[in-house]
Amino acid sequence: MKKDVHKILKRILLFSTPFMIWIFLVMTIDPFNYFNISKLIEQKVKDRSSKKLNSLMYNCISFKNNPVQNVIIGDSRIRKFPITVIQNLSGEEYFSLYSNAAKLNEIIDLFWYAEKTCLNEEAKLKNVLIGLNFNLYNKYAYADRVHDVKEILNNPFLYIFNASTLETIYLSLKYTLFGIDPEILKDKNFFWKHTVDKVATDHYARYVYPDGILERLKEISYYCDENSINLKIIIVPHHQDFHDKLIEYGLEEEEIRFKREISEIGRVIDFDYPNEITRNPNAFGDPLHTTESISTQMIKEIFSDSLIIGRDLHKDSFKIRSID
Amino acid sequence: MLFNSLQYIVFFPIVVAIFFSLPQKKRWILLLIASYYFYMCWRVDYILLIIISTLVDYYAGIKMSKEKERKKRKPWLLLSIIVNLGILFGFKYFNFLGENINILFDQFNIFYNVQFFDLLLPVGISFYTFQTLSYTIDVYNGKTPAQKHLGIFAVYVSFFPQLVAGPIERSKRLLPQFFKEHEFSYKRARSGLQQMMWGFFKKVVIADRLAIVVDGVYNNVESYSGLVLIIATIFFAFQIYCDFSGYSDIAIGSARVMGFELMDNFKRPYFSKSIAEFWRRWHISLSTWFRDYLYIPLGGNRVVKWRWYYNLFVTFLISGLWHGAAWTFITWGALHGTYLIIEILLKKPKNYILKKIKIEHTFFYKIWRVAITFFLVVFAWIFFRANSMSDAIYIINHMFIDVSDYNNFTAMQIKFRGLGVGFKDIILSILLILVMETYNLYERNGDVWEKLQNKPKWVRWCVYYFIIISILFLSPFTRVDNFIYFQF
Repeated sequence: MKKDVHKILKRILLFSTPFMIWIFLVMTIDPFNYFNISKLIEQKVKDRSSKKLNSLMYNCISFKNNPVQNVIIGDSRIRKFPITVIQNLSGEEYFSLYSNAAKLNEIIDLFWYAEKTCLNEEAKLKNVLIGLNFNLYNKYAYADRVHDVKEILNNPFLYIFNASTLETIYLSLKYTLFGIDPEILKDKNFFWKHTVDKVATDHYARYVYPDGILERLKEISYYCDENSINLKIIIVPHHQDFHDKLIEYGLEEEEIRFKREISEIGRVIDFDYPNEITRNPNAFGDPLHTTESISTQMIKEIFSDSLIIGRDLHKDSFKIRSID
Repeated sequence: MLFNSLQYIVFFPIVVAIFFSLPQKKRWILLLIASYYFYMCWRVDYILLIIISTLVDYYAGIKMSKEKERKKRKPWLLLSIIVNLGILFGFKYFNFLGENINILFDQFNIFYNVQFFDLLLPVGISFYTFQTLSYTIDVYNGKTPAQKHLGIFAVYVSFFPQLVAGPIERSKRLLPQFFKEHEFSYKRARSGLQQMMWGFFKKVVIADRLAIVVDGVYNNVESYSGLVLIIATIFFAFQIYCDFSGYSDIAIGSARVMGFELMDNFKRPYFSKSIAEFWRRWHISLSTWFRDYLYIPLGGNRVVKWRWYYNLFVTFLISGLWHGAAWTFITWGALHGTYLIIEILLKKPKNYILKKIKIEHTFFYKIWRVAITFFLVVFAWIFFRANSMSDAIYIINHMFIDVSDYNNFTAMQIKFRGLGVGFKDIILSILLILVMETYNLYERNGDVWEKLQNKPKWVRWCVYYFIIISILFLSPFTRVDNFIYFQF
């Protein structure tokens, strides 16, 4: 019996050695700063790999490591909002808690995640800026990744044996050892056409009003009022080529309804109506994402409180603007 | 405690290590403590129900063994049946019955409402109740001697590998194993670990991945039609198989590491060529239970034809009810009963035609039979999985419409994106099902793991690494964590 016990223990130990090495590798490279102890891989490498590959996990972990009281929440369209400009204008430290391809329900989840993380540090949120657009106001624009990240945050095992961790370790090592940049360059013309033809179709071809989302947004609004949190919502602009698809699918009424309902929540600044930005292809990297300079311009308008292109969306005025 | 939890990964090796360091006579104490702890991790107070069943059946068994006349043994058997089925009824069926009585009263304008109990269904109650009932029935019939050792009998009722979802063991098979001296064996432990590994693969890699689509669609059926409903239903067929057979594999493997042999519960059910064959391959421990303790006592097939059909139908109706207190489960059972009766009725004319056209032994005819059986089983699964009868009817009415809408991948992608599932995930799920069914095909000619032993070490280890890496990296651990059969 003893011989058999030794034999199986030896085999299990030998078999599990690669897994032990893997655990050591993850703890050392720590692509998402989960353990936040090893500095072996430069931050800029992690920014170029982990942050791009799984921005949600990266940003949630970063926020947990260094929570601040002022946050911008949204999808990739707020990624280019310049934090340093915001900090200079507001005099406060801000964190961009964005997630590429975030859905509206996930943006709501991110708000509560930020609030809870702050409370755990015995602080409270002060300023919250949420960026969204009508294309997220659809029942089918749904995902549940914030829940996954919260599970990962509570269980290191899930972080160590995670597909994103695996891929980012590969990318980080490739960059560190061989200098191969994980950045993928896109052909603007091709990507523009792809976004208008495929992405817009994905977003608008099937539309169902998202039951329950407005109530969840109102819950945030009520909570912010109760806790003196300054909440602002920005409707981020789309280029008109993308907006034309919305018209093609006959969703103008739904867009008006979206703006009317959103305007009930709190202060809403609308950049998504026919204007110098939405008409200008040079203002966009692709039909969904404004360039850095336009993003900076928008931020300056919001934080200096002198709106030029952005417009305050009031309950009574949204209809006129959308027809402009 | 769940098999697919870190808790079990720590719990199991500790139990095994202590088990083999204890002398044989003391091992039952460890197994009893471990089993009760395993159950209490879910809910502490419900262990009392297991203790009540154990004490009543132990006492009934002892009393019956002292009576030579069957007539005098009967009251003790009735006591066991009333207590066990009474608990099961109270927790599982009372509210269902009350609900239906209320509906009936409403129809006749009788203003009386049956009050409901707000009770959580004890995990595994149907499994351990059937296991312990089989013991008292066997003692009553003189097929097994009464167990005099209360501790070992308690372990028989609550043995942790198969406590909450089977296989439902028979006393004749399992009880003697607790008296046997089990030495640690490398070969046996390896075989047990291999089976556990395969069970984990089926559960966490395949079933949990399929569950995302199935739950997304079946919990919101009215948002879908056509191909999405078809895919979700076929996925459910594989989800429930991988979930439950995965559980059984982990249970059998865990027991085997400690030297216990539990019965096989599944034998490649989706390769069945008839519904009768399907039931010889699906949830074998339950279907043989119903055969031995319900179908045969009703008269089985040694009666007049109409009575035989009646026996079959009633057995499957009760089997449906065993799975859950809902009309959907009853319909599922009734459908299978009806399938079997039709199969019997068609046997003669079918054989006559087959002899005439001489296709009986052709490969294509075999494939056709497998496909038809699979279709019938999948159709019945709609009722099993649907949240209500109206959902099931909606699915049936809408699954074959709008199919032509999916003329390109983009349309499909849009549908699945609504579920938070990428098209790549669907393709991966299909590939994983193919991997699992290839294993099953390979298993037809003997145990896969034994065959693997004849391969070079590097091949074996590559297979093990492939499975374990898949378990670690391909499982949607954050999405699903429970086993379907826990609810029964």
